[in-house]
Amino acid sequence: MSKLYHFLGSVHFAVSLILSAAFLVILGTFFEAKTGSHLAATEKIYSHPIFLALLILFFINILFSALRRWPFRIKHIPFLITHLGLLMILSGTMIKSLFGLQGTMGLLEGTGKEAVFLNNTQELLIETKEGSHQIPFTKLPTQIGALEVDVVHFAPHSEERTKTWIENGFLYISGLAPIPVKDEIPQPKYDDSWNVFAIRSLHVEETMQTLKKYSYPLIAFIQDPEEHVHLVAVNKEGQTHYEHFPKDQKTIVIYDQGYGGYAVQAEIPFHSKDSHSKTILETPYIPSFALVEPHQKWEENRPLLWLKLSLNDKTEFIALQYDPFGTGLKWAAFQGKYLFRFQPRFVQIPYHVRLRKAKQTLYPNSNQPSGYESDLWITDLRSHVTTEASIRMNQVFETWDGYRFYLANIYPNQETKVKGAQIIINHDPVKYLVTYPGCFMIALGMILLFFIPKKFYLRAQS
Amino acid sequence: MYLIVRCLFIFLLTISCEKTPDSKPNWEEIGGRDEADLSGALIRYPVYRAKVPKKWLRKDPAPFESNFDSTKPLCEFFLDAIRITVHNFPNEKIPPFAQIERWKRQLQPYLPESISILPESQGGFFGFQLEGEGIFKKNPVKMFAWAMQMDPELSQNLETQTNSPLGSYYKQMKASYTIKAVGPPEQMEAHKEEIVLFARSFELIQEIPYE
Repeated sequence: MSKLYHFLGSVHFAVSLILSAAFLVILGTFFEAKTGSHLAATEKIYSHPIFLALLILFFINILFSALRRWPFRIKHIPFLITHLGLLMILSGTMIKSLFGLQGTMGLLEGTGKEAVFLNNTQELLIETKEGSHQIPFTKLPTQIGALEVDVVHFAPHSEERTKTWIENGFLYISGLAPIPVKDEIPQPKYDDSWNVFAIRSLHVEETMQTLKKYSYPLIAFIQDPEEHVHLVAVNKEGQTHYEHFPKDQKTIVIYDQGYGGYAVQAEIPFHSKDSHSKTILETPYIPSFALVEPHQKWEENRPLLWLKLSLNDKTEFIALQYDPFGTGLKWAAFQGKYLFRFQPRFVQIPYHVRLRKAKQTLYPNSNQPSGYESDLWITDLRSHVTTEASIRMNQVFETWDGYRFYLANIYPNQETKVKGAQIIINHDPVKYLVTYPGCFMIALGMILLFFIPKKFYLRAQS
Repeated sequence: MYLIVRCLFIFLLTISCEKTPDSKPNWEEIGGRDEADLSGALIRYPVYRAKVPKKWLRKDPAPFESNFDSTKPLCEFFLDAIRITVHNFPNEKIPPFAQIERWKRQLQPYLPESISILPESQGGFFGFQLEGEGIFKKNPVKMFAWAMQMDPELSQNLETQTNSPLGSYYKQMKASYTIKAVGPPEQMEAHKEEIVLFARSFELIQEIPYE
């Protein structure tokens, strides 16, 4: 027992720990350089149980090496102060990783929030009109009231495809049966009713010119080789209308805040002397996903979660792609009774942050940003005191209780749009109580160790 | 005698240490256009706020005088011969560039190069800042002006809530606004910093609701 006690506090043990830690850090550095992924290096090395065990062993080694000096004498003071400082720094690091916070908040100018998302965490958001539930991914499957949620499949990376109007060889228009896509212009009906065509064409311009010469009312959806859709409408007076729907359609119609689903609309206005007519066509907006090889850089992966949902005697399946900022669309199930989103974990902080202005300065005659700055209102939700704050690169705002606000990014880099800012919020609950005093103790211990002559301690001892 | 001199010295020291008047600008609230409340009575909500230097003279329309007509300013400020006006347009949609073109025509610039137009965004609004020199009402003037409109996504978010009890307030919030400062070129140049600070601090009092 005595041997173990002395070994745990020995220099040999300390050196072997330092070498092991150095080896793991070198490994982590090479791994990060190879993959380009800090997340992968953290998961594989720095958060690995072996690395955490090393930290605990460091703590034991420092503690025992100090205890081995018992009974303590005056000459031990510098050594004990230095070791106490080291123990405080290690404790501070462990407490921060257990109870601290490092989250990100994305804000648009003029808007505010009091929740941050924790990067690279995963949770399932389930919303009803009455309230919401946030279920950590590790707690799935789960049951909320009568709703049962089960994971059918999880893929580490996927790609979203949001084709509109034409999908798998059919044109989908709400209220009409799917119309098969043809490679040539179909035979029209020569009456006053609308002809609706779905055409696949290598030469969209030529096809459109041909259609515009026709003298019967028609609405044609033409898919080009890049899968963009072109709409051409011709009325019986020969008036034409054209609209383009890119593959990744951004403008959508949201029904009942998402509970009623999403759609893409085409508005076909025709004006004549006697009347103004407007035809609105709609297609459901439903994304599809393709499973693809994961990136080496883990941060770029978008996992796909496939869920089986059961409510009473009904079952539905839903595929959800990971939304890394938790700001995208929520998807409805059971005819709009529930909304779902696969997102990072959100945590409330005791501050409400409102972004007033996000500024980006550029180097002269270039689009390269030279600096970022953001003006904020920060309201303490406990005291309701609001503070005006400005943060920029290398200028952090810190509240009285240690919440630190860093500016990470501003987007987009033009003033022609309302800008958004990404703010990193960090909270270390014991920084001023444990970690910083620990650094001070080390500095003090080293000063005493190196600059106070031994004779002084010997004299004090005698 | 020595005691009197000492007391006098301390007195002089004290008065010399008197605080200089605080010249920091104040946050001031600015009302929107008149809206009818549920009983039909006209009501003017405070909608905006901005940092206003203390030496500026402020003139608001009287409470009994309706400001429903958007040609009337919400509020005016005067500084020497400079006039700064704030307008909003809850009932019209005027794109910022159309407003800029109108000001350019009003200004009759000496040279097209004397006009500079820069994009600007803040507080959920985006638009343009115009700076130019020319002849305005037969006088040589310099103009700094901002024409801003709310981001369509944020505006649409407010649009969905126009039937709520706060509907008429939201209508004021999402209105486009303009700030125009006109005055003699040398005075405008001397006070440029505080005018720009005023315009760049101009914002909605209430936060724009957004998920």
